[in-house]
Amino acid sequence: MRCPRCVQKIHRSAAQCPHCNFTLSDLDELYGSDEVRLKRLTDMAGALRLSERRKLEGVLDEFQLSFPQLFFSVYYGALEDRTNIRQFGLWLLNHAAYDDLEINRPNDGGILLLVDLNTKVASITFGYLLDPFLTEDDTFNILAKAHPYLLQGNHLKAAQLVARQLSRLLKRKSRQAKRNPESFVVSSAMKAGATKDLERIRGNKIFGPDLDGQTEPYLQSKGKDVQR
Amino acid sequence: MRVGLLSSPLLLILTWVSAVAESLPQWSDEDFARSRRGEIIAGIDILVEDKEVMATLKLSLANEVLPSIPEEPAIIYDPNVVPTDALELYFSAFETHLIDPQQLLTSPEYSEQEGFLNYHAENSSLGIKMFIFDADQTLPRTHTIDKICQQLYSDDYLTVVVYCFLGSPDRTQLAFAGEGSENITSAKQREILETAKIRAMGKSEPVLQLDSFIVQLSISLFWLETDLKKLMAVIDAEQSRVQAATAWMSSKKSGEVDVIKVADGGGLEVLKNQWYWIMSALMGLLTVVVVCVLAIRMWRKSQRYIFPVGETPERLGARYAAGVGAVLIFHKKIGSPSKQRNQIPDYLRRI
Repeated sequence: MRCPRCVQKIHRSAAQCPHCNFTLSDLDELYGSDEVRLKRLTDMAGALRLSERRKLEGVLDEFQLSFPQLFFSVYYGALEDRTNIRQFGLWLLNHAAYDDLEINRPNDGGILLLVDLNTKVASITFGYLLDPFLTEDDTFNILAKAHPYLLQGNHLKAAQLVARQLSRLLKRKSRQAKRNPESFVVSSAMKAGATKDLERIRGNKIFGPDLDGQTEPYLQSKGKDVQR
Repeated sequence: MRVGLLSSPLLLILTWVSAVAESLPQWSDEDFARSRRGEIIAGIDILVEDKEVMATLKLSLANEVLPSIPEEPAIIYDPNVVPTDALELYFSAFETHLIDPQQLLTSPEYSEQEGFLNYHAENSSLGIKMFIFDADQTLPRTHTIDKICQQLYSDDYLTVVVYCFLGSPDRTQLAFAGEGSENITSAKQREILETAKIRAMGKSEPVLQLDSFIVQLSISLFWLETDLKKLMAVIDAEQSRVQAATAWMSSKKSGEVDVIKVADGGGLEVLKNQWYWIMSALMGLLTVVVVCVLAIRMWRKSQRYIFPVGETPERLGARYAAGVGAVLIFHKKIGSPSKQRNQIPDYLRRI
């Protein structure tokens, strides 16, 4: 694991970067500490046509069908020159409140493809759930495969390719985890910890199955509508 | 001394006189003719002494009409004509391919040639009847090759009849009889015969000539048979088309047309005949493959992949994510992505 600012290796449980003292609060000061309402596909830079957006949303749906815990989101932006895309991606995934996602898909199961059309940089950021399954090399190889399409400005193809490659890789990793569960420490602590924040962000909607069986009674006690 | 000199000629003279006196009477031509007519009976003068009896006897003999003795027909044996009894044997043997009732071939020679003809017959639908005659033998007009073909093999399946004159291959005769023989032109028949004759005449021994003739005949018949099958296939196809056209003209359904099965004319013909079934099988196979692929894809799509929730402590104060993946610049100035594998901070890149 690397620090998003100094790109030095850090420990998995480091509260701050031992090299540059970086924490997420540094980014909160820069970009704000509030949640950002987003869709899975956010095209702030106008990189895609309407028909392309619909196609890409179909790809994102397919991804979610295969992985009930995960989601794949794409953000096209035109960031300022001084913006560090690593840090912005990290901040965005931690503050994003996705309107079009079920509550049972927390952000720690999210993968964010961030494309900055201004500086022509693309990055991948992913949540805690995928920490044991995705490495920096994996994500680099996937982005490298999409490089020709990114160069051509064919962002739909690039995003489709990234989604498919990620899907293929994660399927393989999932099968490996099923065969050899000892390699992965299973705990629901992280998910439980995140649930409260999710309820606050997306408290009005339940789209999918209630994985832990606790969300629905909680929402009903708060007087919220439960939609299935 | 004088008596001694005269005695030798005298003895010779006496011997000659006695020899003349003791010699048998000689038949003159006139006496022989009279004897044949019955006018004289040999020895009657010695046996009958009484002159009156003699006269009566002569008179009765003169008046008696003797039965005429029929002259026996001269038996003329001609070695160049096939004996009649052998002819019966020749044309009553229907089982064997090589017919040699005169046993002009030795038993091993016969077995060898008969074996080859049997081998040919196993792989051919065309029958062979080979009659063996001697080099100079001739057949009566009632047994010419054309008449034999007409009498014995015209109602049979296609048969080639060969008259083979052992030692004279140039005299060999060949004819076709039976079903489909009208499709074989006389030119083709002549070609087959001449080719085999030339092959046979290359040998000096009669048996070797026969062997060469049979081998060449077998080869020629194989090709002839192949050509005939192709011809029959074309004819059948044409008939089928005509029948289909007739059915269509008479407003019949095409399904009711009896399509004549085309005869086998080789591998390509078999493929053509079975084209419908081959295509059906291929289409079936393709359908199965497509269904399998679709089923596998659907099954894969319907599969759900679950990840165990790893116990990853919060780091850098981030609640959901601190996993920073790769960053890739897709500007043309940068070039290939491999140069960006080693990630460096942005501020260093800007320098």
